[in-house]
Amino acid sequence: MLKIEQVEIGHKSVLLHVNSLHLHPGRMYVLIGRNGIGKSTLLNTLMGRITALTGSIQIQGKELSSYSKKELSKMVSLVRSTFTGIENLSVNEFLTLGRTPYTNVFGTTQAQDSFIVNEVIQLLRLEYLSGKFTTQLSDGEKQLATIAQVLVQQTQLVLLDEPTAFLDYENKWKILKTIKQCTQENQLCTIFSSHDLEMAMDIADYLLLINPLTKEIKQFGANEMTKQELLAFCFPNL
Amino acid sequence: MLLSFKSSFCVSLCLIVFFSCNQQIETKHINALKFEKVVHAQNFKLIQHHNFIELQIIDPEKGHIERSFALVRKGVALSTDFNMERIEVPVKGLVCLSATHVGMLNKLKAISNIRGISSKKYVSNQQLLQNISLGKVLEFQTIDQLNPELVLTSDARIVLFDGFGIAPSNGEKLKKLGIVCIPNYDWRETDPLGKAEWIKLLGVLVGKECMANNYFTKISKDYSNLKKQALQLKSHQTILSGSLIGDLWYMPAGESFYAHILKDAQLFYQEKDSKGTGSVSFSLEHCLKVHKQANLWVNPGVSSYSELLRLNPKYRLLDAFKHKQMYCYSHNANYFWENSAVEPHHLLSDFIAMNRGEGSTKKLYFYRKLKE
Amino acid sequence: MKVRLYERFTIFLGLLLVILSLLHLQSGEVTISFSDAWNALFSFDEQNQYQVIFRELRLPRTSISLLAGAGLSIAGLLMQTFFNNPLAGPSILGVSSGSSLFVALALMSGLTLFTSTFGIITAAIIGAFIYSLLLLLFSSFVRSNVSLLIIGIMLSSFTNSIIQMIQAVSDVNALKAFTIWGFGSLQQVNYNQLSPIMICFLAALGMLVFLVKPLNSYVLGEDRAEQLGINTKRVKTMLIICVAVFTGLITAYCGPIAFVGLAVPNIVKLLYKTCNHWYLLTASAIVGALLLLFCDLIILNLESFIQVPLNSITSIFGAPVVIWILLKNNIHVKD
Repeated sequence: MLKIEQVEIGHKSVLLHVNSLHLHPGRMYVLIGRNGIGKSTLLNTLMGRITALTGSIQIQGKELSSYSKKELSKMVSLVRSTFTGIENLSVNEFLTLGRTPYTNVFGTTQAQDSFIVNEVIQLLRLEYLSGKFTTQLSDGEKQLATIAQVLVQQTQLVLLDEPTAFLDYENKWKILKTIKQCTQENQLCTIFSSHDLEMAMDIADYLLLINPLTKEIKQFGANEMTKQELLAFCFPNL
Repeated sequence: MLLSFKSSFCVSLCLIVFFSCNQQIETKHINALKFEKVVHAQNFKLIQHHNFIELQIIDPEKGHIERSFALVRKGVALSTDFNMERIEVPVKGLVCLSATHVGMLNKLKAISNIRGISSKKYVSNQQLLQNISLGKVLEFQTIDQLNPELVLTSDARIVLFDGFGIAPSNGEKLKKLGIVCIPNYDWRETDPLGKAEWIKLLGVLVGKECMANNYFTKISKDYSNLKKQALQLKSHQTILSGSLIGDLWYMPAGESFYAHILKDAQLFYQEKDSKGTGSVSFSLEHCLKVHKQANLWVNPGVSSYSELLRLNPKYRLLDAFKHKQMYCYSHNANYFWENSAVEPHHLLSDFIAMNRGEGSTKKLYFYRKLKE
Repeated sequence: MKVRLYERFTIFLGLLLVILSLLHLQSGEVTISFSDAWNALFSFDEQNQYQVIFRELRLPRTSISLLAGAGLSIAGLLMQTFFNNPLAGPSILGVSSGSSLFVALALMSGLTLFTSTFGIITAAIIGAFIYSLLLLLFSSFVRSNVSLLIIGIMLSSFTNSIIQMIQAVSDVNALKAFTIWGFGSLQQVNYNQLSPIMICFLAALGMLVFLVKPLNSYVLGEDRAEQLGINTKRVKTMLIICVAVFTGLITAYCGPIAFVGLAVPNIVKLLYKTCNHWYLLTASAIVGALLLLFCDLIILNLESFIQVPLNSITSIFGAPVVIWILLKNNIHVKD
């Protein structure tokens, strides 16, 4: 699904580097590293918003840089934790906007589009929200809606930038479980960054850890490590 | 018989005036000033007192006395009973912010008394322009903008300004410096001769009251003669005046100075029955309804048809425009503003010529046909 | 079901617009018969006063009221969505003043090339375009909605000072033409100018059709719109051109008209409660045209008593809308 080989990431100077990473569909990866180390830069690079300094990034066997914006919009999506709701935009409209990559130049939606939206609503049990305006949702519901929109977008690679930030304990669990469920049912490849270590370790299949000393990203199985080992790897100054 | 009586009466009248004037010039120390009664003008009065003349400026809006001044000869003591501002005449230096007064002082050969004006941009008089370039005359813009210290250095003791019923903002300061401000309402006079009569006020101020009286007598006679001539006209033209400012067309109101002259020239003006002494405003639609067929159109504010079209192409819809029957004074607006007030007989003569259809053949005083 | 409701309401507004337009065409000093109105269009007789009044005064005035109201409201909506700021609008953010500046320069230049109808339209559109670009540049540095608003207001007062300086040195007639224009008026358009205006307007409308989809996703923010496969660079260019044409075209003929572009889209959003730009654009155009026709009807009916400048009427409607938005936003912050 996603192949990263000998890649250096950064805006102008190198922030991070990856020797070799192979990510697969149906698996959930958690990205852990200290603040400012370059997690967002990595996610933006995978989105195609920032070009990698060196090396090759391949999605489905095709170089990321050779994707057009339109193609990419059907392949990768990124969820941010900052959705605050939009005035006069209903949840239903909000979800339908996820179909934008598939609609014609005038944005006309087909029966299939609403079918997919309804499917996602059923999957996430959002029926009770669909008539509401996005500004009326609680923080947890807003995050759920954002994830639902990404599912509607039907990209196989889903990136989530701290999806559990600003949420209470219950909602954090709910969100992560939902992501897990979707990852498995829809065979997605999800990468999410998080500072909730215990939760992340419990739910994710794999850990992508960033060592601040070597500035390298390494992949580990979620069961391979204890929390102490993880802390020692990511936060050696602790 | 009657005619000879009349003429002899006139001659004797002239002689009396002549002698009385001469007498005044000869005897320098006489106490009283002589003047002729103000007949036509509504907005000022001259009243003879024992040893001074009272000048009353009347607020045209409310009709009551706005200010009164005591005009006295130098050195004459004035009883403090009178609550009037004292002006010693003749006045050597004055600031006149109204162009009409420049024209009047010109008739009195007193341009050299002018120490200040509003702006060089609005001057036509050659002598005055020369004095400005020599630095003898200063520019003060408007009464509210004028700098009291500069007035003092200019050696002017009187400021004549266009009044609006309220005291000028720096009037108190000027008063403390010994400078008297006299509001001018000649522009609110509705009778053409009334406007010209303000020359009498200037005459008294600069000590040339006889010259002023003589001039006024002469033009009143000319004016009434022309008015009589106009009555002989067989056909009458319809006339339209003004132009659009923004979305509204401003025209002289029925009781205004302009409507008066148009009437005296026997021109037919559709808004002659409108109320007011200033101007009335109408929509373009009204103008097209009422004035589309007017034969003549005066005072469009510009001096050529092309300029007019540039301001608003809709002007071409009016017949007077189509038939190129338009007149204006804009080719020499400063000359118009300086002299039209004091030469109402010339203004009347221009309009009579237009009414006769002689506008293009006869040389007009103020007006010209619009250029292409 | 809901979609049908939107459509019905839009049709209702459209009918209202037709009625108001007819009323507007009929308002004035003289009564014009239907046959005169018909003949004015199809067999025009120059000697007939009524036909002249209909063709040269009434028709241009009604048409430009419709176009100006619609155009400015559309421009306002585009800017609001693009800057993600309900307080955006062509006059308040200074785009109109950009047009004014360039029109002033064109008029004062005295060159026939620039003072022709075509020259003035072009100048106004270029002015609006440059100012939109400036705004775009500034908007990348500020985060808060109010900051952008203040920048816009500063931009207009800065420009107005420059215009005043130009006026101080220009000749009397050019000055007269320009000052009158500055008040905002719907009476300056002539019959023969209607078709070029219409063509420009329709061209911009044509471009607008391709902007609906991008605008809908722009609601989610530029970042997310790009993720959804929108070519943001191309959209930005098209959007600025549209705003410039609508604002410039109207400003060239009617002068800077205040608040319509800001107020109307907000009123429409309140009525429709949707982010779908098919509805928002159509309704903004109709409501904008309705509002301006209504304002002008007030002017027409007051004409015999007092002269009211267009801008004072539009401001009476517009300024409270701004205050209302600010209050509403503040309440949200408190929540």
